[in-house]
Amino acid sequence: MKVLRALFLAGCLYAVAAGGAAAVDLSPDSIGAGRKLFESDCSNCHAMKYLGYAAPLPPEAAMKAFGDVPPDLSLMAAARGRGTSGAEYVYRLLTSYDDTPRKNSVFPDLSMPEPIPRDDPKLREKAGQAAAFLYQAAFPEFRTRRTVGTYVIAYTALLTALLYLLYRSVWKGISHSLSGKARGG
Amino acid sequence: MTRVPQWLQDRFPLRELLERHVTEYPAPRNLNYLWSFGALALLFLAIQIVTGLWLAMYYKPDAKLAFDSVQHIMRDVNWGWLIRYLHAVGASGLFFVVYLHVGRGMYYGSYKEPRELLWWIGIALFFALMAQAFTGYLLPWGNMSYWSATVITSLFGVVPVVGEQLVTWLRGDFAVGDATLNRFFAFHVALFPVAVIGGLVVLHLTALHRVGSNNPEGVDLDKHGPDVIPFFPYYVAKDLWFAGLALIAYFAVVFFLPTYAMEPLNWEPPDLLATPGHLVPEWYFLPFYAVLRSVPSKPGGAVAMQAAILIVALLPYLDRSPVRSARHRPVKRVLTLLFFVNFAVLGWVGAQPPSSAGVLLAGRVTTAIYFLYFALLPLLPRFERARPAAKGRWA
Repeated sequence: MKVLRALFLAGCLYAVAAGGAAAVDLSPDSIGAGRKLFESDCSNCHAMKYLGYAAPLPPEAAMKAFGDVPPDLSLMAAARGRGTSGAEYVYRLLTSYDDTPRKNSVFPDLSMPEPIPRDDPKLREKAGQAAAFLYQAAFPEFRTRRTVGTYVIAYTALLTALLYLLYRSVWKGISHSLSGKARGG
Repeated sequence: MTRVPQWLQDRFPLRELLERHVTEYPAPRNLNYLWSFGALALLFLAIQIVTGLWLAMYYKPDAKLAFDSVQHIMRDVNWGWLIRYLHAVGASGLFFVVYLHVGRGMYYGSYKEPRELLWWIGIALFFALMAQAFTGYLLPWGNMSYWSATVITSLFGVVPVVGEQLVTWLRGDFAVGDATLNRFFAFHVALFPVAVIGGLVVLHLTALHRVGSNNPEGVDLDKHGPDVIPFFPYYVAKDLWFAGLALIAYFAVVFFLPTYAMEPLNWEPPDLLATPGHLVPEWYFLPFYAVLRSVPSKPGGAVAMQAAILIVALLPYLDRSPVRSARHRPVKRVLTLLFFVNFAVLGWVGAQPPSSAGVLLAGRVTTAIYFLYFALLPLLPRFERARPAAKGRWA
């Protein structure tokens, strides 16, 4: 039991550390700026079907222009990693374009031309905002989820504490060990 | 006011049922918290049934509509995201508590006489849960759903002579497609949960209440003696507060880390043209997946994977010691704990890309250790000295 308890605690700590290390700013301002960026730039090629942004190019035309069909971005931040790591993936992709022959040192041979010019002084800020918007697009419930979750867990903790007191009072005077009169087996 | 209950009582043994299975079911007083995981499994099963019912009201089992209908649930249905996360994380929760429940049985020798049948019903339940999880995993119709179903159904192709027909029969088509989705949906919402799992749970509990619960000392207790207490209120109170603790952990994942119980690739619709580079099953299948991959031939791997589960059913005969609990068996205790560690390592191996030689070797070694445990068990009584009859409780 002690080992189980220690493992469980270690698991919780790891999960909190992994979930909390968000490099992408998920504030409403950042998401709003990301949405504007999507509408002005990304949506020239990419659709977001679950948010009502239709594909601007027929697939054949996109194929001709880029050699590939620009993927729908609605769920991209969920499909590229668990938690916020999918949004961080998008951020890394947008900020890793360079002069090497394969265009992008982290994600080589992308069909997508440089979406934010690398000499843009606000490159990192914009990439973060775009990633934040994609996160919100994939997980539109995330803010409600965190708020509701805090209340649900607080309530369950209170209920559990009461149930524990109930358990202690029910078991008052009851021994947890055998009397020594058991039969052989 | 007493007339209605009396009318009912004259026609249906309600009071006897409650007395037999709840209020007067005699339970050993020395059960530790590992014995609460059976009740927790029932709790998670109930959560799966309730959330699954609501999901089925909005989900469309059609290859053209399924993926979008899941997003409809996530975005448009009131609290749909919550119901879906409860269901997706609940599957992991159910397997987590079932693994601890089975591990407890292995450690304390709960499979020994007179509980062999109880043990086998439990293993049948485990198979049913695997089938339930596997059919459910196809329903979101994501890329990983599609390719997992393709790979796992193809395993039935190793059956001699009728293999190919069997695969086609399972899929309802020559490849996984709309027909497969329809039948998996039917199995997942009607046949498995109601007829198979529900029925087996009733059998499991009925058999349990015939033979009584084992206990950490592994000794037989007099059903009317001083060492048993009624299930209600004692174990109801104990299991309830422990269930509260489990729910806190469950809600922490549901609300703050739901995607940790889900595969990122499954947020993309199926790409029928390209197998994903690195196929991984859900975490609860990883140890058996590692066994499958560790055998060089496909039929051999499929047989080894089945054997890895079926061999657990042989425990009542492989373990020949008269002493049940590993608490009083120093060698079985160490071996069983090592077995659990090895099982976790197998899970880790199952999650790695199989390309490296190191992973392949680790898989073979851990698979060998897995089966070695069952080979060693029959030999233990020859040299193991069980602790002398803790206070003379067994012959």
